[in-house]
Amino acid sequence: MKINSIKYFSKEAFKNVFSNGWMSLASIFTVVASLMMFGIFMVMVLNINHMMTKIEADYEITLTVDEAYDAEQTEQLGKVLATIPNVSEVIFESKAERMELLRDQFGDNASLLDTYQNEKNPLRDWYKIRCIDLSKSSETVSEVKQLGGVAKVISNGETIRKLTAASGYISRMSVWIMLALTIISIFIISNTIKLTVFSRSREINIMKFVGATDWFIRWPFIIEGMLIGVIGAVVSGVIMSFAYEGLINMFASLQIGFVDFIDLKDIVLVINLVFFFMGIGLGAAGSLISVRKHLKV
Amino acid sequence: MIIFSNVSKTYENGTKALDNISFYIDRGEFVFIVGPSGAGKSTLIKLLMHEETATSGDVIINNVKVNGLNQKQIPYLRRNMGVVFQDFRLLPKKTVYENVSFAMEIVGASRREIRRQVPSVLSMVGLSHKAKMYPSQLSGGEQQRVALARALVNNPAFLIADEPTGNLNPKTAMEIVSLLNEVNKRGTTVVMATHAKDIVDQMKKRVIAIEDGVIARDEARGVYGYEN
Repeated sequence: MKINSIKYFSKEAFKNVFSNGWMSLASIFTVVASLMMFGIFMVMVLNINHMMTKIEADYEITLTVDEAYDAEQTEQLGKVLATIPNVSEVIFESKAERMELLRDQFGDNASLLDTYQNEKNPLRDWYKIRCIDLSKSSETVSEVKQLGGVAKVISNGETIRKLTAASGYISRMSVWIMLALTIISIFIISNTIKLTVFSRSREINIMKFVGATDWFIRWPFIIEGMLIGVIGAVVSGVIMSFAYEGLINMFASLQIGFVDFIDLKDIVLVINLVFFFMGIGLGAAGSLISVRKHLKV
Repeated sequence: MIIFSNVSKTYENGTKALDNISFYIDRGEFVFIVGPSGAGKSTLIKLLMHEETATSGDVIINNVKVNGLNQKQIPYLRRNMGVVFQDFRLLPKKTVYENVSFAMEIVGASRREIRRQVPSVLSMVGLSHKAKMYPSQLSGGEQQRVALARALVNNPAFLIADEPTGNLNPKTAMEIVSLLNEVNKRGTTVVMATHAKDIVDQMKKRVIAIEDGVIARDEARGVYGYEN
């Protein structure tokens, strides 16, 4: 494409966006609405994945050591645990350390625990192990249970597995919904742009008779669509970012512990980048579809 | 040159607009296409511009068989011919200058070429002083002169005019035809479909008369031959 032509196309596109003010505004609103819908699902999926990754990372199997085991036997048990294939990390906490932690948690009331010191400490030594593959955690639990010196195994693996499965299902569904939304958006946007193209069908007709190629006619419309897409992306990006900040603040004020959102600064860039490229894509695709019919002269 | 060789055109609704017509127009000729309404003049013009394709026979322009062209080649055919319509077909949101320069943008002309050529062609049609005006600010005759400037700006080999004086008063119409004659003298082949008896009779150019889809007359220095 010649530089002259690029200049011409861009000039035409900018002029058209402004001279068809209301139509452009309608198209921009359509892009904003589409991107917002898309964005809501995207933010939801990203956050579900984020929370699940965190829950999975925090997951551990806890096993208490038989009181009859002495220090050497306990250490030996730790070594055996580390050899289990699905175990990524073995953390030991002695009963004395656990008592210290408990005292910390009691804070000002720590003196209540004074009677449970040293030999009177009712707590047991324990190991916490982390799994490489969470889906195999139940096998790991049964393996651990069979080891000598293990008094009790505490694991909420089943619950987490169900949660993971559910979140996976929601994520997959959301991806399909996002895909459907994208296709629907292209059609809605192309219909809105079609109105502006229709009002210029005579213009297109004249261009064809003067010897314009189809691409010469298409380019200004495509650039116009992309411009509308970018404006729509910026508007929806700003709205979405503020809405997300509001949501985070709301949950923070409610103090719901387990809900852990992705930080605003981390997600703002993702939202805006995705919106930017989707806006350009939606606008260009919408224009291409709507101008197609008018080129057959 | 333009060759029509046994050309027939039947529309999808069954209307037979042209029936096996043949003629030859040499480079530099000025030809009037005349005939009653519905005789097939417009169809003939549409075949020349490739707005329609012949049902059978060949339309050859500059040694290129037009009916064999694919969609992508059509624009390049049209760049070789300037077109003027009865309803002017100017872009309302562009100025006179832009309406003409845009025909050059299409062929990818440089800024310098555009700046040189557009004023020259506007001066030729006598509209240099109205370059910045919009079509709605011009009279019919002036609008047609802009259309003519647009058709000529790329120095086409042919000028196809479909009833170019149909919307103009006799005096203005004669001015436009004088311009066309001027263009013709510079070497451009002019094919003009018209209902304007006075003009045809006065110009004494070649006349091809079409009646019911066939050529009724083809005279070197012909007359209109119908009562208006």
